[in-house]
Amino acid sequence: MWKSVRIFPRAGSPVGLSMLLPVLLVVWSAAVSAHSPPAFFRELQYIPPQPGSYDLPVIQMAVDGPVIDTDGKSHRLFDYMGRTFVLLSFVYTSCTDAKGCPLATHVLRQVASYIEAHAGIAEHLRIVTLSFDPDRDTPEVMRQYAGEDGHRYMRFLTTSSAANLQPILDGYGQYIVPERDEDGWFTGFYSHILKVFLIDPDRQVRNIYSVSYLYPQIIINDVKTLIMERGG
Amino acid sequence: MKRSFLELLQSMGAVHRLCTIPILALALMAAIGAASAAKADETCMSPYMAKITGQEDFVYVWTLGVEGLGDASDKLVTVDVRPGSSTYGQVIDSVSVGGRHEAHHAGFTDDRRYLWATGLDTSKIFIFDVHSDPARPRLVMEIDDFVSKSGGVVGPHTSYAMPGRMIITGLSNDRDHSGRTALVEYSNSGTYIATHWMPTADQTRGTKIEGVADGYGYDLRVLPRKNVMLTSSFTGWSNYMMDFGQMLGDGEAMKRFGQTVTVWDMHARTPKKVLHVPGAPLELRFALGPNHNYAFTTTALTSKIWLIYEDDAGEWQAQAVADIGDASKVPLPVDISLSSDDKLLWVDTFMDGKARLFDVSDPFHPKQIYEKVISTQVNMVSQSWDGKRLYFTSSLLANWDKKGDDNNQYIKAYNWDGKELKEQFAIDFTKEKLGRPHIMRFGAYALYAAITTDTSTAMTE
Repeated sequence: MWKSVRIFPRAGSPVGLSMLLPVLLVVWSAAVSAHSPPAFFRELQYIPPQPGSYDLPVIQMAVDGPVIDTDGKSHRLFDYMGRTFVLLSFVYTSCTDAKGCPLATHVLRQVASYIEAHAGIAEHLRIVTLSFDPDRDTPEVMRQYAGEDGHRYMRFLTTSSAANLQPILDGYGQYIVPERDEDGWFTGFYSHILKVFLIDPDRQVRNIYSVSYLYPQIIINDVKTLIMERGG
Repeated sequence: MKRSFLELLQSMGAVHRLCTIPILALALMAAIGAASAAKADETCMSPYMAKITGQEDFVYVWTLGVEGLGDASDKLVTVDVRPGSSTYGQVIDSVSVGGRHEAHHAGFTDDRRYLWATGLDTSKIFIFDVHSDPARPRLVMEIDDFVSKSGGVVGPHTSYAMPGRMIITGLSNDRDHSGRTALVEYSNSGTYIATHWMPTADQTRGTKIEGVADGYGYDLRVLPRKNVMLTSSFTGWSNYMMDFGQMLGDGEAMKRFGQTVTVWDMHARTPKKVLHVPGAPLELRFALGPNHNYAFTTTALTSKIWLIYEDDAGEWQAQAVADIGDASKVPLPVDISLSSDDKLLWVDTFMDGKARLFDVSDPFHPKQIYEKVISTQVNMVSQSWDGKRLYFTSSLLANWDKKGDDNNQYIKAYNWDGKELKEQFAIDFTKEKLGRPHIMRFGAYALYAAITTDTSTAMTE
């Protein structure tokens, strides 16, 4: 039986020194995409349903696979699940599409800030971002993408190869399309449908967010709903 | 025929181009993209779904089998619609599913890799892989326990893409085969998730009811930015499987038609309000404009266009806004298609075989501006995003189609030049021994970074 290891710090525990150290080689585009609201981001136009007023049935089981953290250490994706709720997103650090990865990262950083400020949520929710471009998104690049304030509640991961990555993408139904030019060469660009997965401590996917409802308020209410479901 | 993704993949807020170009260039590209918008693909699809922005390559036609015709089975028929192709306007593939299931509607998953096609009679769902070879879909999965898994829902109709999952609307139930039914959710991989029963007078689920709450279902559409989901209402298995003439003469049967549109909290999947829309409101089409908070539907029995809209107080309302032909002659409006600029609404009327075009630029005052007889009967209509290409099919339901010489079964393609429809091709589905064609869905190589087989070399690194 799988036994989770403590990958995230406990809520309220001292922040590790490495998390506080400024990153010297912050890539400009990563900094922009990570910290500025994407042009596409708009305020929510409705009041989301109250926590506990609705159900979030199980959509599918989460999927495991070998991953690498920003220090280059090998883990299993399940090492990051099983103790708390987890928001799992798939990104590509070179992405500058306002409706794509920058939006996801922006929203998830907002969620992380909420976690930081709310002890009641801090013990229940963590955020994991996994690159789907292992050739270019090395651990070092993911560390740069995390930024100097790489949140204590967020983890940025990559994989060692496309062979290790593909079963994970397949398992979550995260389909990516490499773009090719007129001569058939890979341009370095991808198209994909942005999806963020809310996974419960039993490693069950309980919601999947796309652009049109990737809002911190909705995500937090969903987490609160699931906490209430578990008697919290 | 190769195209760049910048031209070919455009999102309705779903598909994203990821690139490494400088920020200034990105801003320029974003501005250009916003101005040009999408140029093709069928309107009125799920906003969560990947989108074609160039010319569609194929039309997939979910077709009812006919006893004694060909293999007599329901089938997914692929028609080549690539201009210049040597097989343009021809059937290039057909996948039989075995048996007759009352093939009716079909819809893609959000990544558009799979097409879910449903059978109203047997309640089976057939899932086709359309990405491995868009010219030759493959049947990869059958869901044959829809009724038991869903808790008694019968007649899966609309298959609507949500993020990572599908919502299937039911038409009936296994207890009395009436129109009382539910919405059923599945994961994209075909795993049952949940059933959401339509509100009724005795089980309101906290819903505000305006007039009646029949619990019936039919179509489904969403407006994510308002967190609104709408469902319409038709009739149950006991009616849609009955001979049309017999049903018209059955007074009790004629009472069993839907008269509601239900407004849902999309995120919570909870019904909020039941609007009174008498006469069997069928297809629902949300406007696409960023500030257009309304949808259209048409009522089959009363022959009216209804507007479902959010009023100034934020309350959703329903209002009949136009007649479709002479209601006393029961033209029977069936499918509708809204142009991507929200200005034109095509309405097919089954009985007189007409395609009617309404100017709906003032949604409260639609005006018919054009009509054309397509054939002795017409049912479904699909238009490209630019409004220049329209496709029509003929079949309503196996037992409701016309008989004898009037039973023409076809797909016809037209170009719309802003003044009239000009036929491009027609395929006689009886002559081709295929069956009764119903819903159409568009396919394209570009969605999957694939290439056409007749113009390109392999695209490998």
